[in-house]
Amino acid sequence: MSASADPDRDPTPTTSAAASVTAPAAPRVLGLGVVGAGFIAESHALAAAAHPGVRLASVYDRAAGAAGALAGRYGASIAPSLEALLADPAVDVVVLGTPNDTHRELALQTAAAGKHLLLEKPLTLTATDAAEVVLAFQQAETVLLVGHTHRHSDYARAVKAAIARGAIGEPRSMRLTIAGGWIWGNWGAWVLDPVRSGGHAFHNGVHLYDLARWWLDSEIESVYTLGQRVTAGALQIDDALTTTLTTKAGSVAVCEISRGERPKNTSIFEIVIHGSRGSLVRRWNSDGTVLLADDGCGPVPAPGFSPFLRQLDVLHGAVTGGCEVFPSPADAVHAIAVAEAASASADSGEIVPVVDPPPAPAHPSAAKTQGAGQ
Amino acid sequence: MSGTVLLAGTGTARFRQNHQRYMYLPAVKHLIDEGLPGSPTGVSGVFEPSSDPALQERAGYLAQTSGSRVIDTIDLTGVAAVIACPDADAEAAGAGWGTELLQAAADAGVPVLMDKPTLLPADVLRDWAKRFPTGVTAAHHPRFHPAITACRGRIATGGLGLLHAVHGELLVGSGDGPHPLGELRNLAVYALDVVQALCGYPLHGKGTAQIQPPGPDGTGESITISVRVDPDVVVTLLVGRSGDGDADDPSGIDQAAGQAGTSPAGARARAAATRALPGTGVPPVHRYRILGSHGQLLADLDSPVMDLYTDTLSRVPFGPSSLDCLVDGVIRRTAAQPDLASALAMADLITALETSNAEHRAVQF
Repeated sequence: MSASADPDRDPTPTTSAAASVTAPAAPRVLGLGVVGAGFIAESHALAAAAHPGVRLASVYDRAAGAAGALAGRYGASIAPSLEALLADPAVDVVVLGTPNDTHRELALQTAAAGKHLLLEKPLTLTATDAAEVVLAFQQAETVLLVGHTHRHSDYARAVKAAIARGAIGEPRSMRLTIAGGWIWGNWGAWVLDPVRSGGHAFHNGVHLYDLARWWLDSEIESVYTLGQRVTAGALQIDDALTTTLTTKAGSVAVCEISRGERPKNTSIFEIVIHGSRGSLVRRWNSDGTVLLADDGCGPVPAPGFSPFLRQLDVLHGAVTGGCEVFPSPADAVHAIAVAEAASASADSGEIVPVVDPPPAPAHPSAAKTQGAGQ
Repeated sequence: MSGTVLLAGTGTARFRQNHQRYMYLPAVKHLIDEGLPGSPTGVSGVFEPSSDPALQERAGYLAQTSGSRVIDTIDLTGVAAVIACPDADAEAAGAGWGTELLQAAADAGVPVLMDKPTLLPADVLRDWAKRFPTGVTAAHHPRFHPAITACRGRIATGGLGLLHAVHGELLVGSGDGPHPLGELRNLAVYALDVVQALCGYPLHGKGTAQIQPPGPDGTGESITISVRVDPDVVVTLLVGRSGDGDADDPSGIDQAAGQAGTSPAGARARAAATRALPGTGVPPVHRYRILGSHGQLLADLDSPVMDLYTDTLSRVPFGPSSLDCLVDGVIRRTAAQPDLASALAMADLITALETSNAEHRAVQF
């Protein structure tokens, strides 16, 4: 239960039936090079193992032991350096799962090396940097896919489909909550350093902002954020962040992300979409199982299809077939602009407008990296 | 303590709300049917001095269905409690009877339950709050819901540690339709009052409200409230109304509460409502997630209820509704809060939130 409470993972664990959503037989096999062998790398490695068109080729981590362990489990090689991995002809796609403040530089290096990139969110820590990275991949004519993995999850697709078929009429307001207890280690954890992680709006909030923008089908115009440091007053980042987004269409989304709740292994995952003709509600026990045990109490997520596998399949289609990536890099840049505004609002206590960077100039390869996706 | 209930006034004709019929009389009947010691013994009369045909029609129906009669003078003989639905328009014009009624009740020591004071003209509410500091309870019934009562008890005794957030939704069906004074004053006041009851003190702080106007198809407003209540309790509330409304539609929060309860008639009405399609009679989404330093509470006000599986899925409620608890508490004089001063503070908070929406900025309240 505690693992599923982490917004970096889809709230629904996966089933062995996940392979049923993979690409047609005998696709071109892409070699994956994982940079950063932290916990999220395992999810990508599992997805690669389940996809017939992808294999984990190489792993690099500054902690050689972590790289070796991951590579050993999946039969991959261990790269002695980042440069070696980027130069490895067996690597077609880089999967980047390093601390947030490294994303810009490593992404630019990947583009310069002519590799495709699956970049864990957040894209970067400023919208200007995000636009620079997107432009670099357009110019390199390689694919950039940002890991807004929730978009590929069962629940997110179900919400989008319900809205699209008019089940609640015109969506007007919504709540999206992913709230759990502490998982961020001790005071030295890089996530707690606002310079390295960007704070909660960047580290986890972008998942929610991206979903709100997608579900409500309108860009975010302004934000109002209420931040709290629940676990300890000495924290330098808010561990509970409630951001109210207003879209250009006038709809409103309350996005709540928290690592400060008790009991520690609590996992609250809540969706409410209110429309002109009704409301779509994910109840607290919607997954059907509730745990009452000495080591935890609360809803138990039901297994579903792997969003990491779906995400990897999108990437495979883009690299081998020229399909559009989903979400588009433009959406990923917008999520960063929203996170910037959300952080500024938390600091000022005022409503802050979202300022998107100027769009990157058009490029012949734009079809590969821009598009609405599904 | 035991005695009858006087139904005073039948509301404001242009508001379309008919709360005596759909809320209070059903709750009084539930209590009469229960027959517990101290429960009301009947309805003494329906006081409606207005000559407005619409109000007289409402009064006539109430008298007929309660076995009482319409009266045009205040008579508190044998009355255990008054339930008042004053005409906001008449009070604004200085032609109302509210002050006379409240004074008579105060003199007689009879408690008064006042329907939605935030819909009254501000100067009238201010005057009444000053003149009648005790003895009048604002009919903010959701704070009396058994689930909220349970939460309040847990919070008050430190069972959650210190509150750090309350997040809630109050999303209703078409009900009796969009209110002409806006859903912030009509509907969101209930959710704000629940928050105040959970906190246990008047709400002050800073925040925003965003109100989406009624849709072109007649659907109601959608309201999003995001505030930080002193000293540091984050509160977000989603409030809204789907559909364009019908005075007899049981999907509104007030009608649903009025029809809930333990009586067979109430259960049938509620079950019928919950079998209906969205927008035509489903119960409200009304719930709160209450976060504290040492735990959290998840309160769903669509409860207590059992599911009934037949050829359709329906619900069987049990126990008293929020309205039953409120009316019972007023009669037994255990429901002194929220008083008119509390309602006045809530009206001022709502005014601040209206300013936030109009000027698109965070406001102090």
